[in-house]
Amino acid sequence: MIYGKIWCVVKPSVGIPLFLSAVAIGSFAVHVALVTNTTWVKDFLQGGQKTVAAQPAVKK
Amino acid sequence: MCQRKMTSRPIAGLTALDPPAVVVMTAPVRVQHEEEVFQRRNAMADPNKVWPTGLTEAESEEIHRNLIQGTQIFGMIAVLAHLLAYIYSPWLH
Repeated sequence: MIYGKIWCVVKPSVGIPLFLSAVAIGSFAVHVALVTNTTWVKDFLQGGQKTVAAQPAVKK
Repeated sequence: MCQRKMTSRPIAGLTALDPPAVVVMTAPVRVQHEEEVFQRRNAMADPNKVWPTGLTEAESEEIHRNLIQGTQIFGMIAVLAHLLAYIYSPWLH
């Protein structure tokens, strides 16, 4: 397996938590960015508000 | 057994015709030295060698196999979660 010998030189007790932390922090950061930079996530989580396509204004 | 290659780096004052410099070693020292050089060059060939992390190559490969498998399972669950989020949320709509 490619790179299988990495744990001969990197302690698994250091490398594995580092790897898992990188994945966790990375994905958390992406989701935080999504929540803080968009409006629809809050609305979606609030619920009960079906989005309806905007009707064209009717002239009277 | 390993053979020591002479470097082609020129030495000041010597021509190519001069015999190479020889370090005189007594037989046991030479054998030990050659053994050390051989082991250094063929370190990856010894399956029972314990590396600085305290693992052998087989143990290292086993850890790596499990880590890769865990990553693949995590990835599949993540793909499924994103698919569901795409279907049931306004994300990307």
